[in-house]
Amino acid sequence: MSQEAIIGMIICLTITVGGFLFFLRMAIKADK
Amino acid sequence: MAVQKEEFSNRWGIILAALGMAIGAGNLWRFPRIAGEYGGTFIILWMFFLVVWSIPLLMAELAIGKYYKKGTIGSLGSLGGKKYTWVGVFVTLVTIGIAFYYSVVTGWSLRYFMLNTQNLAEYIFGSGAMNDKIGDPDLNFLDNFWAGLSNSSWEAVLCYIITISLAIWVLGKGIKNGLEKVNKILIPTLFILLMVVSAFAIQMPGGYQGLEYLFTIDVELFKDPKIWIEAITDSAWSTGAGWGLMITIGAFSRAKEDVTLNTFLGAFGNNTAALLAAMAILPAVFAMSASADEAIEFLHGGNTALVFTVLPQLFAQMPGGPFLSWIFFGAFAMAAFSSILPMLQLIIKNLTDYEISKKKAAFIAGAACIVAGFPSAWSLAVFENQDWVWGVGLLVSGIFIAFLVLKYGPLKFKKDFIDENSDFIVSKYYFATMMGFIFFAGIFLTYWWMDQGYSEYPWFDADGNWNVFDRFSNASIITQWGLALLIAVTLNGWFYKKFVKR
Repeated sequence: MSQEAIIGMIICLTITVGGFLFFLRMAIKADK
Repeated sequence: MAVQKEEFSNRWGIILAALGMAIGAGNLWRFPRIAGEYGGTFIILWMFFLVVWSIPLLMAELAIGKYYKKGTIGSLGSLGGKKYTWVGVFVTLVTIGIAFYYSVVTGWSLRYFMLNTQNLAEYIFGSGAMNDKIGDPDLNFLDNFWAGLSNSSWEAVLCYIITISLAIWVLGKGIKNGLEKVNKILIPTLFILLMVVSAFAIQMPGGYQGLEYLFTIDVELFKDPKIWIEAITDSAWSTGAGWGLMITIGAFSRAKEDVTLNTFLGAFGNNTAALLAAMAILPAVFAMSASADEAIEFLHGGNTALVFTVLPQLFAQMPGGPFLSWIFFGAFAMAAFSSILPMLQLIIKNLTDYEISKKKAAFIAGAACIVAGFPSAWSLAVFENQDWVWGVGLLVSGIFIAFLVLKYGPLKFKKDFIDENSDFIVSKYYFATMMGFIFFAGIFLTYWWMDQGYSEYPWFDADGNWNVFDRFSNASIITQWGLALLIAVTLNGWFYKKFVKR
């Protein structure tokens, strides 16, 4: 894979999946 | 305010319902196709519009439903007042229009799952001849299968009757014992299945090319307005913002539920599922196509062609492909089914607001989908027309919901409807600005889509007649929206009396 594609993948996955996990963690913590 | 006894058990019930609503066929057949065409540039914009368009609108919808505890007509009518009850009626009619033809998608998904089950069983226990037939492009097995299923097929009718009956059976059990229990199984399984297909597809020789197309960010492409419009539209359609479905989910939430955090979690979950689907489909298409050009040509073939003819054929050509294809179509069927449930629940909730019993309301909703979905099951042209008319209609629904929030006062709305019981609070100026943006951008987007000129004669045909029967014409859109608006406006007073005042 090209360097541009790897950078793009890191950005897209970090924001989307990272965002999902961040809010998931926040919801689990709020429920405790 | 009507007393509402039925509620989700906790926030996870709401989040799973929101995920089930948002993760549908669009995540598996539209997003990967568009994302593959425009790459990482599109994904960046699509993530941006999640925060700018979809999340504020979904927050507003969930808050409205939670506050009024009524269906779409009653909740939006209560927010807008007597003069604007017709807004809720229009939003409801648009989503009902979608439910009618989407019922057919659930039927198709069931039929393809059955086909893949049969193929897998024959592959494991038999000669594998069926798989050879599916994988041979010269035999046109899948083209013929799809052509047969999508036009004048009693098989398609039977399949969607089965899925709708199943959905009505689930919803008839109530929120906790029906929708919530089914979503607890469907959504985690769907995520796992997508991850399995994705893991297999990425490891295929050449599969990385799909990821290359998906994630490469071409800065020059940011100058192309079409990508911006595709990104905002896909975000709106994919997350279900403006459908009124979040109002319905909100109507069953407990009084202390957190609107903001639940919306963010549901919205980011939807985007994660869409990315997973793209990471499954694009590497598979690129790995199994003869060349990158051929792969791109497949992506340009349209939603139904990609999922129903290209993918199964490509899967059939690889070792162990029938197993992967079976998992993929299992995920597709689950995604379609999890999305039809809240659409039917929207109809049921409005009917129970009218004081019809839950069981009777479920029966009426199912029967209406079976009867009104029939033309779309029988003719692909009707299906495509309905998808076009009500798909663009969703943008208008979004504009109307934003309008009601602006009319109430967005800063006051956020304080009164959203912030109470929120563990996670966003800026009131962010919310207010986005409501204004949604209103104006929505008007522009509606104009843009209608101006696309998919029909040769958008308004009048070659003989000068109103071109209402052309599936992609503006005349067809305006006629059907006009009818919905006519019903909504003419019966505004009656709807107010029966759904709001009551």
